[in-house]
Amino acid sequence: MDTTIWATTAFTVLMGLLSTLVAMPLAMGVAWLLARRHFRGKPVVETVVTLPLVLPPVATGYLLLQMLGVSAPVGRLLDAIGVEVVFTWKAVVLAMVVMSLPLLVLTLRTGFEQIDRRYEQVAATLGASPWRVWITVTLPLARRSIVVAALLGFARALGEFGATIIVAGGIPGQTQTLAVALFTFIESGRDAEARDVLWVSLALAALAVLTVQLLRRREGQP
Amino acid sequence: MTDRLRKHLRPVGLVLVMMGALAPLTAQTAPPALTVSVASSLSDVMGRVVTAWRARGGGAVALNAAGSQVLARQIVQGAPVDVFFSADAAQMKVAAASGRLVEGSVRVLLTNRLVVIVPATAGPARLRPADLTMPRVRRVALGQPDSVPAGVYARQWFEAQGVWQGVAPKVVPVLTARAALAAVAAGRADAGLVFATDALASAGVRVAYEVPAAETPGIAYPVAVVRTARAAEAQRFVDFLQSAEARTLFEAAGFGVRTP
Repeated sequence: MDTTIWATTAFTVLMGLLSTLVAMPLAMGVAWLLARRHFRGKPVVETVVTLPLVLPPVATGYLLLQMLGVSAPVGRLLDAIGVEVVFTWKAVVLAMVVMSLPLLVLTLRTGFEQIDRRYEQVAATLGASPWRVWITVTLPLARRSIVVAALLGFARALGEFGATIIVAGGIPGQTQTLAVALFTFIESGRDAEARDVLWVSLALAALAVLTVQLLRRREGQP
Repeated sequence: MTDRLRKHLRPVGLVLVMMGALAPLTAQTAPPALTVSVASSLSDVMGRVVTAWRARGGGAVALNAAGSQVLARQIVQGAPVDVFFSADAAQMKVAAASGRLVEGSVRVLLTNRLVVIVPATAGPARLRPADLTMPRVRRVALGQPDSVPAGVYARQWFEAQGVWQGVAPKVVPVLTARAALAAVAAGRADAGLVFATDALASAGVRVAYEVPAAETPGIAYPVAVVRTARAAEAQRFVDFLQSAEARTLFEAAGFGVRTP
């Protein structure tokens, strides 16, 4: 197998790990708010977070590209502080974060909702601060859904294609992920390379999903 | 209303109900739409051409727009397509090799030219080919240079100009000319290479250099009829593409029209 395929694999896995690291705290905050709090505009937050799941990924990528354009407010702000995103590895991470966020929030929210609130309330009546309740009660009780969410989000990030190709561009050796490389090889009729990338993608995805299943089993679920 | 009249009206009501129930069936027996696969760069103008064809009494047409390389693959795999209108001869050859095209139906209808585009917000400077290798141009958006026709043509032109070595590291490969337009319009690619007709479609970009016709490889759009049960209707549609009416529409969109 070609060494560039291993380089692309390493790059994709690194980007997937980074995106999971960035997305998890964000998703945990949002999921907890949605599971435990009632506030004005909650349906709006739910809709915005879920949108990337149902929008065509290319549309999400196009939207991101417009938002980060030189004449858009966000794009201008980034230019002002000297941060370059579009067509760099940061755009790869951004696309992965946005696209995996709905999956993370949905999984984590279900996890938080399944926790019996009385444990949290008891901890609070015993004098624990809200932060301490979150760290010592909520998180340990939700640990399984946290691990499952992270693995699923990571697997989703690895396969991200539509938004990535628009906002990161699939530049070989710079922003090209496995999914984008696979598409390029198929389009160019480089079937042998396409097959190699396909096997690597399959192995990575299967590994992530298998781990989720094993974890579920260990936690005593059928 | 008398009882007698009501009795007479009852069968009428029954017939109306039955017609309502059968309506979906009659809709299905109408002749199905011709499926016409067109290169992405043709999608806008072909929408207008189909409107004109319908106004002349032509049957329904479904346009299937994508990169020519995708369309050719679909035909090779046996997709139910009646007409193939490609953005380059190479992809037409791919489709022809499958034996699915009506022999002798391939005909070049249109020509196009390449232009270098820059963001509309950029200064009015003219960009010559060698300028694209300079450091101030950091990214150049073009169709995937191994497969997307606009990208393949662009690479051939860069190679002929002897600047491909300098440009290649800056290339942002995109899926279609429209994606190149979006990247340049957003100001995140400093330049792009697209067809002249695509540049007309976006207000966010400006043409900085028109590649002289003599310098580009022949950019030709061949059309062909696919061997299906509707080949006769498909041939009539292809004939319409060569009418004076269609020719006016193609020229308005910036295409060159080949005279037969």
